[in-house]
Amino acid sequence: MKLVGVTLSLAMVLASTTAMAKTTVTLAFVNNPDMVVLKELAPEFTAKNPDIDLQFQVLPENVLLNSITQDVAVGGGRYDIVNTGTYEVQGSWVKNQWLAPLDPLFAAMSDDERKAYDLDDIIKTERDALSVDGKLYALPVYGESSFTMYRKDLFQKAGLTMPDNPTWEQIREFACKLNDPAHGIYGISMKGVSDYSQLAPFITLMHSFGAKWFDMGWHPQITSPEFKKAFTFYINLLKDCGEPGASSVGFNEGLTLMSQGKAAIWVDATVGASILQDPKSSKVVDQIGYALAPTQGSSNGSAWLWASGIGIVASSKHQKEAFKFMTWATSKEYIKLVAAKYGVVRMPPGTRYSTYKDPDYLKVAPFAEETLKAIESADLTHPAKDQVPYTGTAHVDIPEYAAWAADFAQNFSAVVAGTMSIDDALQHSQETAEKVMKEAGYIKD
Amino acid sequence: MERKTASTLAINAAGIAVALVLFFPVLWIFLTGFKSEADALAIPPTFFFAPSFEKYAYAFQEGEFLSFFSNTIILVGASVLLSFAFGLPAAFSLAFFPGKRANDILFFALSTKFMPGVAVVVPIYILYTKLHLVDTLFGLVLMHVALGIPIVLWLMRRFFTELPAEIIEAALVDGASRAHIFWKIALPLSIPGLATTAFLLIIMAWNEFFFAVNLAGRSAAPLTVYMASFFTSEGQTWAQMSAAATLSVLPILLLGWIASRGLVRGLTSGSVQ
Amino acid sequence: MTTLSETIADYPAGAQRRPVSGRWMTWPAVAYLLLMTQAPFVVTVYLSLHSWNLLYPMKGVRFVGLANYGSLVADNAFRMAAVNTAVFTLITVVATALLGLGLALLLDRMTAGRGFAYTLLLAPFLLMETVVPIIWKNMIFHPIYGLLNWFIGLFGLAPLDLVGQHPTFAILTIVSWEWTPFMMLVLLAGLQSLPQSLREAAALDGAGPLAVFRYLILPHLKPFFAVGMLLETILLLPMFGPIYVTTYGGPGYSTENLTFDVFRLLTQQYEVGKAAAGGVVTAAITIVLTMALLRYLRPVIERR
Repeated sequence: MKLVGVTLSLAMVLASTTAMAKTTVTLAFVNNPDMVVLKELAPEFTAKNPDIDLQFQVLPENVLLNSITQDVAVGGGRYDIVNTGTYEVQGSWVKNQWLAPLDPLFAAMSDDERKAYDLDDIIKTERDALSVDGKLYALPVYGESSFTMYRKDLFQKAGLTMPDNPTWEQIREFACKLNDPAHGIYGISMKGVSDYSQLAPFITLMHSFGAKWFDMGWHPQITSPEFKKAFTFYINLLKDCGEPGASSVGFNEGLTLMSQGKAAIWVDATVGASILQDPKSSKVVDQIGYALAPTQGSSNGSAWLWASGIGIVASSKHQKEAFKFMTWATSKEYIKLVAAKYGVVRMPPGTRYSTYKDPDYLKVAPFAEETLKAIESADLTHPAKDQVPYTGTAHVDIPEYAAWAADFAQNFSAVVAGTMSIDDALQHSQETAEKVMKEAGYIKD
Repeated sequence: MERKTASTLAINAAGIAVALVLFFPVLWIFLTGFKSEADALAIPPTFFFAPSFEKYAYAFQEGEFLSFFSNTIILVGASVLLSFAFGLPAAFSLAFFPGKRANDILFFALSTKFMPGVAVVVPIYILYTKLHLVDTLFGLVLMHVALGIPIVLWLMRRFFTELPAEIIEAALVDGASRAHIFWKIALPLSIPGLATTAFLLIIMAWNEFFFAVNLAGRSAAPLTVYMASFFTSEGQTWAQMSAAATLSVLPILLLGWIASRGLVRGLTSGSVQ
Repeated sequence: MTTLSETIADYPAGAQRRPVSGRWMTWPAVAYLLLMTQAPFVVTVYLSLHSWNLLYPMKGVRFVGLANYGSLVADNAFRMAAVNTAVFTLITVVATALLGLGLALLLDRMTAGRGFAYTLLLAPFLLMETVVPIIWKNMIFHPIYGLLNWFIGLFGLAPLDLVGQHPTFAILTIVSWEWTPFMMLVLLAGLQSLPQSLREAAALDGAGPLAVFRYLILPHLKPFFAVGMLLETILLLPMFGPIYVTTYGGPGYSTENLTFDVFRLLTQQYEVGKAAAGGVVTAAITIVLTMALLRYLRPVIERR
């Protein structure tokens, strides 16, 4: 059995080569433009810190989130630094002690380092979005809220004016006037994808209509008249004046519709603006106007707040090195580096006040002022018009969120595709939410 | 006679036309990789454009193609070899010296392919965590060998049983050892079968995504994971994705094309008595 | 266990006469498979009797008996997934068998360019499971930028949102495209193993092309159909990539199969126990189905 011997020894060699000598920090990142820029610039960091080797795993969001959860839950130790958003920090990761608190690491910094990093320069609402009980658990690579993006040229041609604080009724009016499918222009680009992490545009619309997920006793309110009104409005707007094929439109596809000049209005994440404003990917650079997110009776929860952060896995053995990289990747120096290498317009948005004081940035980023305004005024703790037991503007910050929101998103997408009625979708979603909340012990009847 | 040539011509033309139509999606993704993002989305589609290598260059360099590629090569090579190492003696024994339980063994081997990966991944992950096999090529190879052995067993047993029985009989009468029969008679006579089996194993290992994404981090990740890293959640980049997809499938396509003639021969000789 | 043996009994005539002990040679393979697949499966069965949610490490792993199975049976999505699994597998296997037969017959009769056509036709089968649906979803079916809609637009037809409106059809198209070459491969091998002299003799006897096809070619191809369809069934039952990329199981739960449903339980809800129960049920269904198929096809395969 020579063959067996040869292959076995080959396998041994393979096993031994996977063990490495250098301090390796492994990072798990979502593949989005700002993270990709960070990865591309990472050699600048390793050049200055030759003792640290950085390994990046870049994956689509849902795959990544699952890998990370699986890994930290069973203590796999695959990663040192992970992407962690507002929801993960607020929902369960901190509660489950999966993330290392950053305060001790900040305390261990020298005065000069602390001064150069200038934690107070990071926008307060973003810092809060990544803190639990006043303790910071992640640093923002970019931050976002939501607002209205629209085509100034199309508005002008039709004699329309977008107000600074539009209502959803007005948005509908504009969208339907500008909707011109025969010429490949859709009035508004809206999401309809069945991915529950992409529900934020609907959730903010729902909250701005005065509806809510739960009442103070954690009873789901999905079949309430307000909720139904908001849901129906969203679906009708999409069907009457939106794009075709919406059940597979998420952020990506919406952004492409807008950047390729196929949509007149888009209400979505403020980070989208950096790409619409970048001539390398957008055909409509000079034609985009910006306004606040639409409201309809309630400004609470009408725009979301999100920080795409990086945090350290609690079980990581290389916390010091990881922290060093994190503070570099979210520093003022790093933001300047991006400006120098990729153009000022690509500076990571929504993280530092100093970015919004930079005259060069303000010159090329017409969305800067609206972005900062939206981020500063978004309030995670008051997401709805009424008093509610939950926090979170783009999610509900409880671990059970995924369990019922995934079902809601599936039903939502089915209504968008026209394979399910509104009443059925709301009824099913309500039942699922009730079941989940009862099983988890929120509802005590 | 003239009618006959005309109809043969028509058949040849029809065959090539159908092949071109069915191949078109593959051609399209190759072409899209050479376009700009705007051209990739243009309607009506652009069939003629100034090709740019920018997307391929990016996929190659920034995507660190080579490191994923070498992972895939090691993974495929080692897992095919080990699958044969475990599977061939068993297939040989099941074909020539089957005991009472031969069919149970075969069915058992086949049934291991029925288990959906999602159902076993958590126990395996926990085990790998304890053994420090997460994100190692060795760990992935171990898993792939388990996926490969049943295929070797089934296909190679089939090929072995179809060897002329008289040759084996004669060797046994001459007092040849089993090792002699295995190495000197059965294996050399089964080269087409071995090639077919190896080819199927290579395709499957090359394209395996589920365990790769679940058990590998960055250091051991193969090309399927590389490909997934181009599914972005912000920004639709069809040209970029197409270039990455082309790079990831081209090696296996080339291999398939080189091997295709042998493959038909292998399958044919394997099924002719 | 005799039924199992009957199901796949397929001994070569010569070997049985000579019971030489060489059975240890199967041990390494069997031991390996036991260790790598059955041991985790036992753990999966164990987990299926417990409640364990990764998002609640504090609650730990609790024994709940058969509760996970109960909630699966009561779950509409899971039942729908079982039906979809059957639909996806059955329709694809039949469609690819017919298409593959057509292609194989065509290729078999080509006198020139066969190698070229064969090479092109093989390509879809070699692509990664995740690349195939990307091509179709983005570049062909897309309601705005897709080639299909551009093409039907040339004839003045309204754009079609195939993935949104007819998701099952979209997935079936994609998977059939991917698997037709496989069927073609197997059937072409079958056709080429049919001695040319037999066909010529039949033609000399005055049999028309249809009669040759019906009474000579089809019966000869039967075992090849059986083998191809069996293998395809085994490989398609746990289909994952096309659903994941094309529809993510939606809209609603309309395109979930069992594998995807288990995947969703695990990755969206992190219900390890319930997902394990789903995996056990899926494995059971698959084994029963495949055994029934094997029993039915065995005489056909061995008839030769």
